[in-house]
Amino acid sequence: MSINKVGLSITETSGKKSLSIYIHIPFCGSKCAYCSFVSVVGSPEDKKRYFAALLTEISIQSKKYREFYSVSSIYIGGGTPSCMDYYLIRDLLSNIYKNFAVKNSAEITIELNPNTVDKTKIREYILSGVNRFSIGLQSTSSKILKAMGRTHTVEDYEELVGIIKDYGIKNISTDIIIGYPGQKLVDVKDTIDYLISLEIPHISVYMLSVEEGTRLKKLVDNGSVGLPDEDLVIQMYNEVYDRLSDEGYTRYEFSNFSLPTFESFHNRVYWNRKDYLGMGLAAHSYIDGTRFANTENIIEYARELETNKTLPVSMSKTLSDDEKKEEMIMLSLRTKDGFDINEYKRLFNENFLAKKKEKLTMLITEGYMLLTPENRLVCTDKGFLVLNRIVLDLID
Amino acid sequence: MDKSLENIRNFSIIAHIDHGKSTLADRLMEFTGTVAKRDSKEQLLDSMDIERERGITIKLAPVTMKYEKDGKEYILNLIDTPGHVDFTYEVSRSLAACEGALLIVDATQGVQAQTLANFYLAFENDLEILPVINKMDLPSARPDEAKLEIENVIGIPADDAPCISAKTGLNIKDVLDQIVDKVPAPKGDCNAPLQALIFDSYYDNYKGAVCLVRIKNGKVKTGTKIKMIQTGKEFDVVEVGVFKPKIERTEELSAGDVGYIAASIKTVSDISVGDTITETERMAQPLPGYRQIQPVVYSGIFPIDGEKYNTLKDCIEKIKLSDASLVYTPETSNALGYGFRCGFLGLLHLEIISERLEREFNLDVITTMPSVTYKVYKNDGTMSEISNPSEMPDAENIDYIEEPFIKANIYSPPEYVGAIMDLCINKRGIYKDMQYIADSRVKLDFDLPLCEVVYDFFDKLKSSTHGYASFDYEISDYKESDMVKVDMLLNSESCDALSFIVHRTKAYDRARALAEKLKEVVPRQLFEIPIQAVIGRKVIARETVKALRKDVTAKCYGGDVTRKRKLLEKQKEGKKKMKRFGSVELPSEAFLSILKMDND
Repeated sequence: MSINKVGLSITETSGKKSLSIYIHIPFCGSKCAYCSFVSVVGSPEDKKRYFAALLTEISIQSKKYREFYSVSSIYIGGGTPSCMDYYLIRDLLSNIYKNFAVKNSAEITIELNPNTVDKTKIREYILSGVNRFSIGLQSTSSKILKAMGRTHTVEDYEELVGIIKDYGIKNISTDIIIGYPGQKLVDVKDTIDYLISLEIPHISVYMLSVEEGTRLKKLVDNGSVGLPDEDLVIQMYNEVYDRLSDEGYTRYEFSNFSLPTFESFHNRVYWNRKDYLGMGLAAHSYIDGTRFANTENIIEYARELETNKTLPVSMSKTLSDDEKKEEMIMLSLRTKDGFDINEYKRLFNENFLAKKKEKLTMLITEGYMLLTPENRLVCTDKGFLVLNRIVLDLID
Repeated sequence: MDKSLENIRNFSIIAHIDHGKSTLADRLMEFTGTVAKRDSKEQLLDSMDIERERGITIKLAPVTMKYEKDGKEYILNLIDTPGHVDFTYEVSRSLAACEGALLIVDATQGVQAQTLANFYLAFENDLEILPVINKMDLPSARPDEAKLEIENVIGIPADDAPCISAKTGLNIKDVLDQIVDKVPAPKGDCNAPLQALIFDSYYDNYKGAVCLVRIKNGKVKTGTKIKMIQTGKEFDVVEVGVFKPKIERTEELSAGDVGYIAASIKTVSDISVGDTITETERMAQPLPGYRQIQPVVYSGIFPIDGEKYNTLKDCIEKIKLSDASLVYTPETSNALGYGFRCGFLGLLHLEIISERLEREFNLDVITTMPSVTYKVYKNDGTMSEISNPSEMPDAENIDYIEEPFIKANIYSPPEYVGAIMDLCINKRGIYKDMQYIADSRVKLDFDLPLCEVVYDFFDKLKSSTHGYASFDYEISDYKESDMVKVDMLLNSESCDALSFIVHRTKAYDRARALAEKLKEVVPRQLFEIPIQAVIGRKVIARETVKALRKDVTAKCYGGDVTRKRKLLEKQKEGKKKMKRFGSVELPSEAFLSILKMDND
């Protein structure tokens, strides 16, 4: 089955800077135990109101940026965007197309949760231009899924993958979590083997972090669940890495694995510190050296846009050179290409090797990093696991 | 002012800790109307917060009370004294200013170690000693046994001893009457040249350093030109007065009086406690002083935040103004940076000083392991007194080392004798004598190395006798001992703040315990950290802190880089607080927990 995409406006995109757009949909059917994202269950009224505000935001922002930027990727995340009525997503995307110059080749991703979509929705997404699906599976163990507060089953997931593939779309990503209380090494093995068998070309592997304000945090604090020990989490990660490497996947970022050509363009924008514009509740942006973010208060968000027609920005910070340096170290070292010493020299006119000689010598002799012939510093397998510490050693 | 020496009584109260000394002082002040009951808060004479909270007395506080007996008005000068063994020297100072002492004995506990120790001090000072049996309000009071113990152990008659309750106020009048009747009036000549014994000093923001004195002969008033005999310094008296217990200015002080002299003296170090004040015009002979006790425990004090060195310096100087017994010199440590080497009268004194720094000055400090002073005889025939492990010469240059010993008296119910014996022998003690002083109590005499006592003796004694034993000591002499210096190496780098001097037979156990503790608290780093305890070059204990394996955030942040930044900023902050030596970084808390280990 093949579908002709509709709604893409043909706009002149040459000679403009590249921009990625993130859209936050803060609604979920229910909240997962570990989730600390800004998300709410929300009534139909809330959702309608939110979308109206979001469209206003898009039109305000387009006036600022459409002249100078063309859009290379769009990512609709959440929350659970797929729990919305499909026409809302359709209207959202067609609004973006109307307001921005979106490249024909743009990567357009939407996040899905398995039991929130059916064939119709998938078809509508594709018709609206979506060409990449990111599905939250988290685990194939029904026990773990239940503990996490996920409301879907593995069968739901498999059915969804089938629908997407039936429409001829291979570009599917799947999120999994390792290190969840009660999770065993064999659970992780099963999950990875399962994804390999379904030929999922992009897999994001997140290590659980227990965040303030989550149900899980309470359970951990009151002792009713225990976290797996560090060695087990390392074993799990290494297992994932070994299995996926054997199958031809590349770890292009610490948590992101893909088969060739299936790296996420949008993800790489974050690590490479390229420009992106986030719209929607609590969405973050980085444009021209300035990071800014919208309010996390949904009422305030809607009010600012509806009533005042002003942007609901709650934080904005233009990075100093020192901060830019820190971010370059912090973000680039997460990727397989690592930290480009030549680029650093070009941007900041500093010789990084000379500046950090002592620390780098230690990190390289201890086997945490390599210096490639292309003059890039990359983490070794062992180094990736202590990345926070390496970053701390290389900044200041 | 119309008064004769006949109407003055100068006395102290001495007791074992917790036998009710400060409470009795409160009651005496109330009974004589010196303070109204409604003004009364507990332990009136204890002015430091720490004193009230811990229920101990550290500084001396005098008070002048008026009491009428048989139609005659008497002036009673009470000089409160500390009870804790660390502050023995303060006791001897106040006793030198008195003619009598109330010896309080707890009716439920009888004679305890410091009862006896303080009695001897008073006895040496030729004081009239009046036993008082306290805590009669308690159902377990057994006054007859307590009296018997006083007679048997101390050897003074106790038949007439008032049986009181300082808490409820029972029989307080008997105590006051006995003071008037039995404590001799001071002797002295108001017209003779001035002789005033300085028994303490304190610092007042307005008056400067103030002398607390007992006038033996002569008189002093505003304008008197005075001279400190020992230091030779001269001052003009600005103000004199007495304590009631708040200071009250008077016209003059004369023979027999206890009070204060303010003379625009800049710092307490200009006043030598024990010195005699006389007049520049009419010089008198110095009064016999009393022994100046040297610090027995030394420890380094460092600010946790290295940048607060100057604050620490100011604070220690301020404390020194009111605590002349504190001695200090600057010290540098590779691990802890700049700080001070301080000498203390004992562990409690050390604890109190570091607590005052934290409480009164809001300064977080690290104190290093306490050390005593060793006499190190070198091959070249010279001797050095070493109280800081980092100053210990290399072993090959040392002929032999002597360590200070104490004579310890331990009082305990007989059932704990075995446990005490074990403890003392384990602490390298030498058994001297054992006496049954009553059916229910034994007195044990031991010679003990002081360094073992400052290590953890008090706590061990308390726990092995369920708190029933009491303990007192005096420094006796130095004895040759096989002492060694143990250094702790982190990644082959010596951490000077953790070095310690110890008897060779104890070196292995202490080194192992410390290495294990270090392994627990040293955070894992990107490389393996060997922990070694060494004597010279010989490794006597070894542990390894394994390299860090996982510290990575693999979380879905979307484009929220600020959240990652926040984490990074937090880690940067943490890193700032690290103490660094060589390639190893240690959080201050790690140091603290190691140094606190000694008190576990």
